[in-house]
Amino acid sequence: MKYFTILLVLFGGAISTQISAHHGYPQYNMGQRVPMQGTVITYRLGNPHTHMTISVINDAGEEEVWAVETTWTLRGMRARGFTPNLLQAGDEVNLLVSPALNGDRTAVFQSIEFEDGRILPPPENN
Amino acid sequence: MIKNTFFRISFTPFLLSATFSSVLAQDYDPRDLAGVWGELPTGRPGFNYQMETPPPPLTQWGMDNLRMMEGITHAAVGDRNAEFTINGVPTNALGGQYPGKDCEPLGMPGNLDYVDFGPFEFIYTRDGGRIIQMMEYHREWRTFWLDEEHPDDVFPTYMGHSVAHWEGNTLVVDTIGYNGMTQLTQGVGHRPSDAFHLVERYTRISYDRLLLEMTMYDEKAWGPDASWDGLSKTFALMPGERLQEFICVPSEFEEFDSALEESME
Repeated sequence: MKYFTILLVLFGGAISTQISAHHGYPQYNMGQRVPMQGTVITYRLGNPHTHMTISVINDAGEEEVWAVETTWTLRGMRARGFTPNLLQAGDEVNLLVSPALNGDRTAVFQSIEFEDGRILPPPENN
Repeated sequence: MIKNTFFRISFTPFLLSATFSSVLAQDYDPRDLAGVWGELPTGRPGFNYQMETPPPPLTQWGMDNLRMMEGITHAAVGDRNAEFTINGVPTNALGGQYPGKDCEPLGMPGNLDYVDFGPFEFIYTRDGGRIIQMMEYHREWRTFWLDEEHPDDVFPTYMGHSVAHWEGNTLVVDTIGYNGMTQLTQGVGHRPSDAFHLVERYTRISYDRLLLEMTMYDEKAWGPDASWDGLSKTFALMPGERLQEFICVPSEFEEFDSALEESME
């Protein structure tokens, strides 16, 4: 988590781009990918984007809830190997995300690494 | 058994030959556009058009009535670093407009911005009188009425009224009757007027490539003599592909928004 915080500070002013979103999304630093470790609260595979909420313990030992979304549509998620039951509430997850620049606890999902070393989406398909 | 043996000896080489020649030559009817078409493998998501010219400037009436002064995002057309469009609309605005925002209908040509998110399919009716274009993205569709004229009393809609005819092997689609509620494309910061007129030319340039060339007119927005042309895009045939369900659900946004708001408490 400390690594995550440090990277947020370091790259907070980096060049940002906007994703294809369907409501008033904040801007994300799409060029930056930072690790996020946490516990799945919710996971909804859907259109136009997949959403998940992740419980993260910050440096002070407090719980923070992060809202994470994907840029891919359901078609894109399926093509990358995601299924409706891939994640369950309570799962411990290691993600790579692109955080918002405005300080909101939200980020764009980039990839997930499972305990067996499997990464989705596969690096060659991301 | 004898027949089977005869068949295998006599016809198998022929069938194999036919199959191989079909695969190699990829024979196709240039007027058969049926099938699912998607983004080129080398396409740039969100940057879908090859542009020769920028859109015409707005008329004074257009400046007063059509501009999206709240700003737009995804300045995919033109200079992405520009802070304003040629008509003074802020680009890359936080919370700005774009086709399909908040599950609003995209219509045409806005939906074509997003073929990388969802392909489209052409379906021919058995009577030969219509071609249906099904857009996976936001589950929109429209009908091309072949060899017909527009009715005099076109009812304004998001998709407009489309008639089509063949010029050689090019399908020319003419659409009028828009309701003015859409956005032409991501990078254009104004809505079309109810006089918007779209001409599309679809040409199957090879077995697996479909070229679309577009010209747009809007005498209220751009003036009676102005047109926006030089817009083209090539799509790739996706053999065996099936359209998937894509429904934009506002309540799912609300769910995410609620999660985001709760996360900040």
